Amino acid sequence: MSALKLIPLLLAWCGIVAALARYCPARRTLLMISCASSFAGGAAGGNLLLTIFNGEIAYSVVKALAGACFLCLWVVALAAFYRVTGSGGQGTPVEHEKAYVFTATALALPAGLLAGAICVCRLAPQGVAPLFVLGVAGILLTAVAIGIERFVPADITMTGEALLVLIVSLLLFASSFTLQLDLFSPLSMKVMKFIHDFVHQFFESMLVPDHLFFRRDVWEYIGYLFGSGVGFWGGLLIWFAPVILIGAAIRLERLPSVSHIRQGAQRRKLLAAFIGERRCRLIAPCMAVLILGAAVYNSLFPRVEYWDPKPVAVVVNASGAILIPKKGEINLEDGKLHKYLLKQGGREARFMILSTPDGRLMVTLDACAICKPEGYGQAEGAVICYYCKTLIPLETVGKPGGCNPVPVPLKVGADGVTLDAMTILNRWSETVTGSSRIKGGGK
Amino acid sequence: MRRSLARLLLLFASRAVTPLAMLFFLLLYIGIAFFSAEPLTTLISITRDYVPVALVLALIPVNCAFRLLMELRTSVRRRAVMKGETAKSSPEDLFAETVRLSGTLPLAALKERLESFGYRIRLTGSSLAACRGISLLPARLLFLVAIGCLFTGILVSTTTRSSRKVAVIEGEPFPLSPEGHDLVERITFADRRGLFLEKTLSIEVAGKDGKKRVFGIYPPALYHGFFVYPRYLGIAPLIRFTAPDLPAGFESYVILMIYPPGKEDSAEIPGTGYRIVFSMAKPDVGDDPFRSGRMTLLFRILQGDKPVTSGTLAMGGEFNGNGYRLSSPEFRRVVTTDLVRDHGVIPIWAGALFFSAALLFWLPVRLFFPRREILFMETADVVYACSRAEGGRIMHDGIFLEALDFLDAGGKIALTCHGKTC
Amino acid sequence: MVTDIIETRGLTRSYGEICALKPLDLLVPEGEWLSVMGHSGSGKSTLLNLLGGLDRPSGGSLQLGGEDLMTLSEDGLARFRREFVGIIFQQHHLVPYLTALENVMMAQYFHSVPDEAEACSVLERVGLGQRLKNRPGELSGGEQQRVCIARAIINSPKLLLGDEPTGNLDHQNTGMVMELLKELRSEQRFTIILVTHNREVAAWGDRIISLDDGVLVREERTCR
Repeated sequence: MSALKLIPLLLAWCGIVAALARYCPARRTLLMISCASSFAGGAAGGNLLLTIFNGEIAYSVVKALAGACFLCLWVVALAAFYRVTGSGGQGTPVEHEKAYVFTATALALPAGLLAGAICVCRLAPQGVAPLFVLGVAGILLTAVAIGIERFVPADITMTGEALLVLIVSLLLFASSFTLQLDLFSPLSMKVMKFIHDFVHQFFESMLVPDHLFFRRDVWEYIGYLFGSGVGFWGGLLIWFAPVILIGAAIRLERLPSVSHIRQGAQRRKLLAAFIGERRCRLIAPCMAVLILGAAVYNSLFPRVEYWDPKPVAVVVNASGAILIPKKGEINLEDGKLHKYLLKQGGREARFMILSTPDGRLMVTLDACAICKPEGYGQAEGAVICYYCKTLIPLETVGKPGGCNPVPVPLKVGADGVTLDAMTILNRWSETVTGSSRIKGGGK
Repeated sequence: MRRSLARLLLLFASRAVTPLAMLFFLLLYIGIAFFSAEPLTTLISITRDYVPVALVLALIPVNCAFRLLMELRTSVRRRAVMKGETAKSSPEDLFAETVRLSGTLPLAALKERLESFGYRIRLTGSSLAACRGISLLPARLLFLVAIGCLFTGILVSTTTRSSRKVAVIEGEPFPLSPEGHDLVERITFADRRGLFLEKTLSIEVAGKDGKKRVFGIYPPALYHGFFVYPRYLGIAPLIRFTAPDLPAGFESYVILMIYPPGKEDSAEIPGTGYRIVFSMAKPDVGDDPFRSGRMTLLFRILQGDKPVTSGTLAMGGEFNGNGYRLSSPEFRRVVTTDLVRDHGVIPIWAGALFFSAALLFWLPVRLFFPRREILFMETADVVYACSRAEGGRIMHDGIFLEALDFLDAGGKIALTCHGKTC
Repeated sequence: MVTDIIETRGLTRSYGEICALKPLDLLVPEGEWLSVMGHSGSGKSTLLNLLGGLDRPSGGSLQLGGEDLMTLSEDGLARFRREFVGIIFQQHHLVPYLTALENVMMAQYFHSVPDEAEACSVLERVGLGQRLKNRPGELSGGEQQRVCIARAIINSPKLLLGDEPTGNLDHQNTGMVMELLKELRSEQRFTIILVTHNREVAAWGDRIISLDDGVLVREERTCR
């Protein structure tokens, strides 16, 4: 079962090694040693992180490193595009063999470390990992990948930028299999937040009238900027932009100067050879597009079953309180999420009860202060907001702020939990009204 | 000294300055996002409060200004060379491709050949300049001006903007009016369907001298250097309230921002612990309560956090129940307005206009009339053949190469060197 | 020093039991204009196809421009044809829905990349500068043949093969086409192998060989 989980990640690692070998075919032995040792090091480092720190911190570190790689890719992509579109429009600078070796080694080390760490995180959410087997598998696959690379047609070459985009896309693909390491969902949420804030700020700064005065149809279009769709599409744009920029930089490279050749056929042959070679260099970015697309798919449709029970209706007694027994049909202390539905006086609210890992019972609304109230589900060690896909560790459930579900005061007695119905209803009204501002509710 | 100055100028005019400055802000934003739930607002505050950060932002318009000067200078030099004025240095840095030849140029034959391809020819004694199309320089300059205006506006707005939220009430002096001379006579809210807006708001203010001013919605009016920016609508009803433990009662105007209907606001009865939560009842179709003045208020009376009674109150009517009495004989219209002093707004809008102008110029010219130039220039020891194209490069390069073939076939001229490494 | 651009030893081509070309030894120096004469079925078109890489010999050796065609793969042969050989046919084989300019640019496209300016220049050279935008149906027989010549020489071949290029032309056009070929040969220094049954046309060459039933029966130098 663990081996099956690792197959796509190890395949991604093979792809990284093969790409490095294609970029720098001269020093395969050195490359193999760098890749194998860095992968093993990454696996060991990841395991150490998981052992010393709790899961949340370990995953955050690995996720931050993956994010840093993506950011580096962005910088490189912009620099490449800028270089090509400047006056003169120079293409890729000619590299010498030493530069190839240096670049390949410089990329192999962090790629291997991160790939190893990602594999360990995939295997061991509980902090236990068959480390030795993983290390050996990684080393063996390094050798296999370098061997397989020889069979790839020699026409397919890549620039340093294309190599980087392929490596980063494979790393992002590998990390997309672990919910806690997924970058696309938080990216789209941040984009949504940014666009939301930016539009607000723009309206304020440019003294644009409030929605009261706008035409309804125009405001509906503006309202799309506050929806999750804009976060998704904006996130998609940011996700694919580096590879598109690098592809464009390759495509827009100026043709070599042929003004020193007087025979037309020779000139055209030279240009045709360059164009053919340039087309082959586009293969790597095209593959990266597909790989990044697969990572997005994993992010949108994770292979995780969320625990999401149907809300149970509750009854309010004469003094306006709700009594929920700890044991009975539902055991509140079983560590699972339990959802309830309160209806009173034409108003309704959803709330949930959860026992945190330290044994405390928490009651929260099935909604947070920021997102639309699509509710929460329970994943491994966390609850997940369905709207923004943010994972909230179980330890922090009950604390207010951010995308955490809104806490509700409770009294825990020997038999059960007592809640105030009016408090729940009022808090739900405030929360849902507040979060509905996201969809054209005004400023 | 001159060399250092030249280096500094080149640095400021570098293409890398603007993207590096933007990268700085992107990294700052990402860093802030880890620690703050409002990263954009925090970023703006940091820019306002820390001079080095503001200076980084200021680099962008400075860079645009220098690049504008450099590009103008290059363009002027190129025009001079194309006109046949002798170049002080080689023209290689003015063109995309340059070939050095030796021999004598058959200018007349070259002219005929290039004219057959649709180029306009300018012949001087020792040079032939062929060109066609329209230069994209105006679009380029407009674009740089637009970026400069935009970021100047952002910089000024971020660092100097001040805003005060005030309540503009019918019958009361306009906030900030000197000695209260300017009186708000009327607030009108009406339908007016436009391209983007369907409602309009007018705040009629009468000055001491009887002169009237009307502040509208957009574009915002200026009042003593402040933009008048209406935000929310509400009412200031005169509330008369008595309770069983408040027989003396309470009477005052209270400001309630409860428009549109459904929005809630509350009024505290000072010193009593009573709070009344109001909202406007949704009207019948076509009857806007704010406009018509005919409205019904829904209210809940709370003592502390405990609701004691609730009901409806028609404007001009009275509620009596459970020992509580509530009436509102009249009301005044209220507009919560921001008075904003911001000198960055106009440059930002100017930047948007320049962008639009740049795009409107660039698109058709780039698609249909791109500029293409070929220059053959004889100097004392070498003949330069130069070429550049802003679009239609493939065809243009073919014509340039064909012209070189023609010169070579004529036998009078030979290639000596090509490219910028000569 | 003049080298031999074509060298064949014992070159043969058979179709089953029929031997279209019997063992042939032939040397053609670079820059020569060789005319090949013979009646129908004498093997002259077979010889032309072998020299142009359009067909594979059944036996013997065939070296063109230093390249042994017997050892080339299909891809290699195609590359060789593109870069080394230009062919003019009796039937023109111009694409009817493309203009003269586009027909020439198509040859450039299959060789490397199209270049409109160069194609215009070559068409001007063959005297069709005013007919660039005309389709083959709008051109006379001689003009069509000149488009074929432009198409054949656009990629600067070392070897130009003509299979009865003037077969469909009248006397005047035949003269014009032959004169053009002569001028182009002296400018671009390619070797011409021209197959014809017309003695007058054959006399434009430097040397005439005659084939009969696949055998070389006569070889003579002309006065040009």
